[in-house]
Amino acid sequence: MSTALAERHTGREQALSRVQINRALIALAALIVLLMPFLVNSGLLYLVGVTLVLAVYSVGWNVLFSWAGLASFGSGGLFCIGAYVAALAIRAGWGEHFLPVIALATLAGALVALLVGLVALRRMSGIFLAILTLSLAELLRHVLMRVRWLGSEDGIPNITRPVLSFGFFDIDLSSGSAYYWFLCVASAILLGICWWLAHGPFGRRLLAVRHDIERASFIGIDVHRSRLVAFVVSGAIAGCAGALYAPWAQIVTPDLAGMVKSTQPILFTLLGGLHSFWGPVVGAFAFMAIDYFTRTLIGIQEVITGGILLVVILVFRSGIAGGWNALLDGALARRGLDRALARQEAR
Amino acid sequence: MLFTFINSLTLGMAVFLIATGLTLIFGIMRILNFAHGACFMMGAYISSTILGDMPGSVWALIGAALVSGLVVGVFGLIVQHVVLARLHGQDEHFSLIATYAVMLVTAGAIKMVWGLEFHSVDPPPGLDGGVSIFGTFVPSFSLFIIAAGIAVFLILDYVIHRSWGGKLAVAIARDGWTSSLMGINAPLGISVVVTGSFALAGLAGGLLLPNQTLSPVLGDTFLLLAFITIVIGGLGNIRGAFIAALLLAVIDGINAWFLPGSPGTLIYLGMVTCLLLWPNGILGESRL
Amino acid sequence: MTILSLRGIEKSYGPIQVLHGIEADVEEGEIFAIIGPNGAGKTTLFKVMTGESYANAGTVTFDGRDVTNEPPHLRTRAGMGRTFQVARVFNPIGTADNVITAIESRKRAQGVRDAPWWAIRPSVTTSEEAMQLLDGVGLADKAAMVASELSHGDRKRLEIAMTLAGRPRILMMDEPTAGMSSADREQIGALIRRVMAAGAGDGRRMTVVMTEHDMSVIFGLASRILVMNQGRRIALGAVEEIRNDPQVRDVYLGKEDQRLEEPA
Repeated sequence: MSTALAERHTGREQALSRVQINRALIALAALIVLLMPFLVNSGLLYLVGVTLVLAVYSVGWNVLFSWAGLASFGSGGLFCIGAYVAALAIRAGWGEHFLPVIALATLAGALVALLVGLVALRRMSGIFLAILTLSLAELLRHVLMRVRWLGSEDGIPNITRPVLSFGFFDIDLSSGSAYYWFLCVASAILLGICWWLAHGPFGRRLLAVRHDIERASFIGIDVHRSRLVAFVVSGAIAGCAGALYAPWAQIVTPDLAGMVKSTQPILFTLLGGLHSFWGPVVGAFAFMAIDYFTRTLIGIQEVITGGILLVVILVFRSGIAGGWNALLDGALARRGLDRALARQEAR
Repeated sequence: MLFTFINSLTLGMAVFLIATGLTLIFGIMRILNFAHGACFMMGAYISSTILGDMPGSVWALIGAALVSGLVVGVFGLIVQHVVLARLHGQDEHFSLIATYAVMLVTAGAIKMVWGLEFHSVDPPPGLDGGVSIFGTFVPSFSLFIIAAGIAVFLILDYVIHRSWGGKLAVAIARDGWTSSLMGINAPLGISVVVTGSFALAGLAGGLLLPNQTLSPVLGDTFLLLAFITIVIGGLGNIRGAFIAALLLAVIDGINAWFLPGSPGTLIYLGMVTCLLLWPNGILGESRL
Repeated sequence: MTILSLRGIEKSYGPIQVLHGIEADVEEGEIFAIIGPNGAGKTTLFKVMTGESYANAGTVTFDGRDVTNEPPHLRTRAGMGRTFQVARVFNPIGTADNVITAIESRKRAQGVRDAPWWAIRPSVTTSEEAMQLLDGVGLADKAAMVASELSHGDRKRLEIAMTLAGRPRILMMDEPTAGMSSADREQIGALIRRVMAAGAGDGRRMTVVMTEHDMSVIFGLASRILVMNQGRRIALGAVEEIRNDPQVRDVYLGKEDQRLEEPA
């Protein structure tokens, strides 16, 4: 009930229309993303596809951070596991059964997250958890760099884009735009799952845990279990995103487990808007734009990224999504006021 | 065997030199400083600019390292006032991410100033050779690093646990509010410690400069090892960090002996195991 | 019938022993108050009862089952509700959402499914129950507010509503009127009486265990009182007995005793 009821109670019609405006914007953005293959060249399309995957991956991370209040600094490791599982499966010729391969990669991500979570979550949070996850991802990267069977430092190149086989009909994903649309569909499904988890009873439980652990346990919530489930879900999403990424990039390397990949969701979430569901998506595309326009300027890219991040943390905590909502609220309130004044004058 | 051991000990002490600054800043502000690795690199690049490719003498190397320490320390003071002080008392995740942002800015600035090419600097005369211990050739630069590590440990341990300033710092770290009631200037104390922490990063960069291939990714590897070291040592505990660095050296030695093909793997494995066994560090968590 | 019983509870923090062999039985349907000077061990005993900390020795039995080492969420599910000295609610979310979260948690634990598994919004019965509970504590008109916007007294009411959402058989209240105006204090007292009168469902009576500083609240509400000093039980009995107990007068009600100042 809550939101709808809340609006009815306070008569906040503006809040409702803000939601409507944002919904329209999301639909518009989705449409543009869908039409991308007709709008841009293949290089840019590749970039948009990667950003889409990273956006989904970051939303998964953010469910863990903004809902359960846990910061993992090693999600890149899970992304990497998913990517390697998919790459290996395709190399082994299972490309035709790509959907089960994705399921396998998702399961792998979830399983590893479960193992880490079982050992770590009960005893640590905050900085210790950050360091542990960071070192685990780094351990994975080191191991991958040494295993010759997995291509050592060069990773697994030349991953072919698969053909989806449904028995009686096949969908060929080998062309760039076909796989791109497949990415769009998969991302939409994953985002839908995340949305459902974050806004349903499970999300409400997690929020309770994040806001006040003790209070949460005194309304009967099993705090440890809720966190563990969030950790596993986030791991599953990371693994799945990794599996989607592998055939798109056509190469996987141990660097996927590195610190850069692990910290990307953090940057996206902060820039896009903390505690906002769409924040990481907005942030991912904003960062893509920054990266794209500063790609020739060595060093400046990082200075700009870091600088923006600092500004967000120090003065603009709510990020792009929060800023946009505040702007919209302000504008709507002004319009509402104008209308009320006009009505009064007319009277 | 001895050669392997000395090599590992050198790595351990090098990591310890970097970890000292991290320990200090964590001890007083509860901040895990991601920018530390980048500051270490900054120190190394500054020293290399001062020294050129061929340092004149050991003293020139140490002098350049001290200058780098000073410059990076001033940078730390700026970071403290512009960034960290404002995040004091907020959710720890924010300062964690803020230092990551500072790291990005610093690393980017380093690339802009010094470019992407690899630099390398030779050890100064007097440290470029080696000595023979029990018939094994040992590079004298390794001995220099080990000596520097031990010296820095002894000095810091004295400063923190014996000197008046150290006791003040410990008091601030334990309870900043109460100590400010007792007339201690806590913000000043924190600034001093943070400056010192950054200065130590710069100093480490200068000292460890020779024999390293200077490239923009140098900081990352060391940073992670140093992170692990201070976490194992019990965050914010200099003695713990020293012990953890020695442990790291031992594990690295075992790794080099039994798994020469995959350097580094055992370290991470060992450290993860340590973390799981003692989530609060070997000596337990303490502030400074 | 005894609903909560403490047998030989010992608790130490490091070398300092805070509780020395506490024995007490809380009877169903009573308001049981724990009093004592600062540092007497009230809060520690309270935490041992609720599961926030565990006793080093002794047993806690709740409703016939040994809960000594059970974590809070299991005790809550078994029918123990708890409020905090400074009301703790989930600040950034809506007042109604606070209660809804609590109701959903209870239904989940009980295996009650009144919404399809894919439903995002809470079920109609859950929403209605939430409104009833808010109405019961006098917050119905503030259901749409964000919890952080509520006043101190309203937050306390919301916390009680959340706790009642768990359908508790016993309410553990840590200083329910601390820091309140006297008007608010009386309202909370009246609320507690209403809750007692309403019972715990299934024809069973509600029980309240509370710690309290304010003697007027205690003497107005409590059926029996446990008096503690320096980690020991020094008296347990009906209000009148306690009022006339010379030892209690000595340490707590009467003249200022030296022991009052000592931290336990």
